[in-house]
Amino acid sequence: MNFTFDSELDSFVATVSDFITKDYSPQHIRNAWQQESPFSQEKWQSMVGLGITQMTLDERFNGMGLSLDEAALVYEELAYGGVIEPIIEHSILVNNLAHYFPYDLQQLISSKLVDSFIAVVHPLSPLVNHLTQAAGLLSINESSIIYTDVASVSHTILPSNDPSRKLSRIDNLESFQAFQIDKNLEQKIVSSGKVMTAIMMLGLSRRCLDITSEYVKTREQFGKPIGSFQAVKHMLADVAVKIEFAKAAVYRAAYSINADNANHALHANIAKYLAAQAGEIATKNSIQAHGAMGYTWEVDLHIFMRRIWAITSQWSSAGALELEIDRFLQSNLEDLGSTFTFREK
Amino acid sequence: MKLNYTNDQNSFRQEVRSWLERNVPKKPLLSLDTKEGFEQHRHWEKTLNKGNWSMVTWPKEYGGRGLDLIEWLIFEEEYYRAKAPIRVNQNGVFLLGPTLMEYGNEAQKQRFLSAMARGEHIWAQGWSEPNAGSDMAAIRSTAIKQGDKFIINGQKTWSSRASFADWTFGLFRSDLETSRHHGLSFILVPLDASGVSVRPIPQLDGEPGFAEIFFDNVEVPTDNLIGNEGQGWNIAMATAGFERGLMLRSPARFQETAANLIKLASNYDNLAPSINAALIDCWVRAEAYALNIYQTASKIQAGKKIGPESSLGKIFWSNLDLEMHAVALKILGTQSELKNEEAKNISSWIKGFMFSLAGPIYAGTNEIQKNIVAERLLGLPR
Repeated sequence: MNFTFDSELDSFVATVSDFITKDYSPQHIRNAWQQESPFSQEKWQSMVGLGITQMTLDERFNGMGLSLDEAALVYEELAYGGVIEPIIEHSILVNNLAHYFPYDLQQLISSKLVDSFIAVVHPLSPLVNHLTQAAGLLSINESSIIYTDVASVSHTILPSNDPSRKLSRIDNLESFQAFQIDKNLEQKIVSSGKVMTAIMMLGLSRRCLDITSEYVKTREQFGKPIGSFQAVKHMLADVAVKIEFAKAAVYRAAYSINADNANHALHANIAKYLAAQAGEIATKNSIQAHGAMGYTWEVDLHIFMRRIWAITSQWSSAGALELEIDRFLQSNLEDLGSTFTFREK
Repeated sequence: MKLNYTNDQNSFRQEVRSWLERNVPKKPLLSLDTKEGFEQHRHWEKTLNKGNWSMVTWPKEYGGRGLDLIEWLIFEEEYYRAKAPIRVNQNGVFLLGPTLMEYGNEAQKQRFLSAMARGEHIWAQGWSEPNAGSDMAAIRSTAIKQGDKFIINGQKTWSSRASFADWTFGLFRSDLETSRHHGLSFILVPLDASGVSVRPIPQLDGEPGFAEIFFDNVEVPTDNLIGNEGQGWNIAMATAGFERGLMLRSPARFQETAANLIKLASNYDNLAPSINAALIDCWVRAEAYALNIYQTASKIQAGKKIGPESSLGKIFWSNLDLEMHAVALKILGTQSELKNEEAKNISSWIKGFMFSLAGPIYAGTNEIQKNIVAERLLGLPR
């Protein structure tokens, strides 16, 4: 039992953090919003250059073969930066799982895993982000994965409340190749979608808290920084508590996916449930601590709040997670208790 | 990261489980806040000690097993699973013990740790005073050095277990020229010393779980000073860190409550969706606490220090404990007020609820914890 991250990855996280600070400022995001497609091929290639897409990719595809829990902090850092390009999605939903895919599908996509973006659509995440920038689309359901060239997809662009997201509703697939999969793989993909959203939520919530902490240190009222008032302190401490107590659950769920834990679905539900709560209170209390400034387009806070609001119900809303957790509890009553958490079946 | 128990950890769990199955009293002990119940619990501490289970993380020479924090968590899980008695000496083994390991000299460790492990010294806390509660640096009780003695005067209050305990550890002002956090010393005082008087205070449940302690020219040898004179505040903060953090409140306790809550609810049909949502929320949070503590234990094992982060944990578990009991009372409805001993599965919830109300207050109120989080973790101005 060792619930710590490999310290060899510290420098990787630091490199990504540095990239966010220097090359991915809120001003860059605002500039990207002015483009027809905010997706920047240049930024995508920079991130590929950092090795992001190779982290969780199996060695047979020229990847580093890290498990999702080991790579989680790097993805969290990218989410903290509010990156527009769906590189976290590509890395977690496709690359981390590619070696479980049917062999013929692996052959078909293997050349696109490191450099290109492959989009994923599933009933729990039915709108595709940045489809026009993708090199392929995987449509996943309980029994199959369907691969399509983007040119063969007829779709309708739908506007999002988050200008960083360019959503497409899939209307028709004109030609495609279908591959049968078993339920286990589909469940793994669903758990990955939940854990991915949870990881992003951790990074984004932390960003909201950091922006707000800085703001309340400098904004003065009644002759002192508003951050010196207990009402403001306590509001932000509440956010810190929610973030802190989502973290371990998220990393654990990430671990369970690659470790083939029989309860990975439960772990993913718990992770997303807690991370979504952190996101909810992070946005609510951050905007409140900013006062009317938090309600403006000018302050950067909304760049990150919008993303939280946009993704919070991807791969299952809070209500659906509750129902699934409830079903688990009702059918495992005798297993619950102090020895439950790490018990192996 | 490796989130499985080793074979050694699994066999350790089996060893704990089978010992507890053989030794946990079949008949529940009387309340530890009665004279008779206190002695029953002291006897249980002695029984634990005979099995070398007083504190598994301590070195063997002091009655421990030299094991790590993960094994301690496993021990706690089995302990709560077995419904073993509350540790009457938790102030000693969970708070003073780790403090002595860090700040005590060899003679003090020899003298106090083993006696603590054997249940010969049951410890009370001596922090708060009538005018030093959340503002603990306002302490006025004094310990003035005269030769090889301290002369102690003043008053401590809300001293848990002091009604029947043997010793107290606390902070006293040893330098009258200084103020606030300076000039405080961490001193151990026997409660049977001449000049000490203890006045039990009945708590919300009617039992004297805490007490006031009056010191009237009490003489204590300077050997009872922990660390250096004037270093008391830092030592007390370390002790408080153990209290807020994983030591005093291991996750097992809350996981058992959460499981009992889910099982309680399963006996009722047609619970309102809001009750069901609250139940799930509580269970998930108990799980989140356990996961966080395993991560924290792993970090400590890897050599990291845990500082103000322990305040996050204290806020989290105390709110969780309170809400779990509050939901249970809503489920029990008109039965919830019953205190009958024959139906413990019902009466334990109102009893637990009363106790859980203290959680957001003791070990530093949650409001103080939030100040600590805001100032020391988020860097907000004082």
